[in-house]
Amino acid sequence: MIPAIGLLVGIVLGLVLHPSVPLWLQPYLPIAVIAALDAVFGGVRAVLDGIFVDKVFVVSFLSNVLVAAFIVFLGDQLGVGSQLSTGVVVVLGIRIFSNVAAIRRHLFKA
Amino acid sequence: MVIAVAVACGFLLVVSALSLKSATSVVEQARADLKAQIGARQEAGDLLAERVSQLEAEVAGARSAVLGQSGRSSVLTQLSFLQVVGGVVAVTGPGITVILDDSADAVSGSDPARGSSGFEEGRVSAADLQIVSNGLWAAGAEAISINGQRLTTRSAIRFAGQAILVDFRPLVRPYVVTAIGDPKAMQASFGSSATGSYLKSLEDNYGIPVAITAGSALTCPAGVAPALISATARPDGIPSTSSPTTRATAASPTTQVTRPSPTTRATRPSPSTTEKRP
Repeated sequence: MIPAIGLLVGIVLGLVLHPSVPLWLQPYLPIAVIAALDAVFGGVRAVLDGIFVDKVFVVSFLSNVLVAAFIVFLGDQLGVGSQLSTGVVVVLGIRIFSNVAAIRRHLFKA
Repeated sequence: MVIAVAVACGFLLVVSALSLKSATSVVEQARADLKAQIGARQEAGDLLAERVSQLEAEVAGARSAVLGQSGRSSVLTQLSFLQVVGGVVAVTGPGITVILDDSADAVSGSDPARGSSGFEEGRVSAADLQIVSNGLWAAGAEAISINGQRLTTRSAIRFAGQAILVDFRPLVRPYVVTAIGDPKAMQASFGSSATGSYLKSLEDNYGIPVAITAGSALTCPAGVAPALISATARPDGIPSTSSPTTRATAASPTTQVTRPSPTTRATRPSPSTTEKRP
């Protein structure tokens, strides 16, 4: 419950503050969206599975974001940023789908 | 800790989504800006073209006034004659039209297996139009236009891929070649010339339909006047040995008669036409 409120607070903060993202951060935006979504669904799934651990959630979120950002950074330096960011989006997207499928099985038994 | 990460998640999500959304709107903004710029430039170009034609009319008026006053109307008549044969002014009169079209096979069965850049036998080519227009000049045409594009002294008829360009304007089929001149004489000499038999063979061998009709009031629009690159003043009294335009001699035998020399003579590089004479 409290994490859900935290999520809402974050969304409202983002909507209200509406910070402008500097140009050098622009390539990381799609990754940020996907990583955040992945963290949300992964957390919900873990809660439903009854295996939610604060530390695992935080560490996995941070490490996911760091690795994804590093891959995109590397791609940018090599001149293949869009391809590598597509790769990250695909991997995280598959994770999101599998998480959502697990949540669905929990909630609807189907 | 979890709350902080949750807040970070939501924040990240919304900020990224908003930024990405505004990024696409930036693209649309740029597109709209470009559209507006294109419109504005086109408008400015149209205005300038209008101004050019205005000034040209002014120049023509002033020229005829000066030449008329100084009693050099012979220059004036020569000028108007050269304007006609050079294709700078619109011409109306009797003449013949030659209409060519792609053969029915080529139109319906555009064969993709042969590629889009390959030459197709049933299609009218730029060379065909060159031969037709040269044949018409030889038959005594005084002015020729193809699909409304007047042939001037520096017109080129050429191929660009599948399209035929006249004065760098692409043409669409059917190709209507309008020639002003004596219809009867032109029809007779054109039909019996090498060009006539060439058209006949096009029709017989490749199924390209050719229609030649005479008209009493055909119009050739004005072509783009070639820009004067350099001009030198000539002392009066020296008869012009070289005819001002090569095609003027082909257009009308009367240009062979010695005329008073023009006051200015354009010295240009050789015309960049790709026309071949049959």
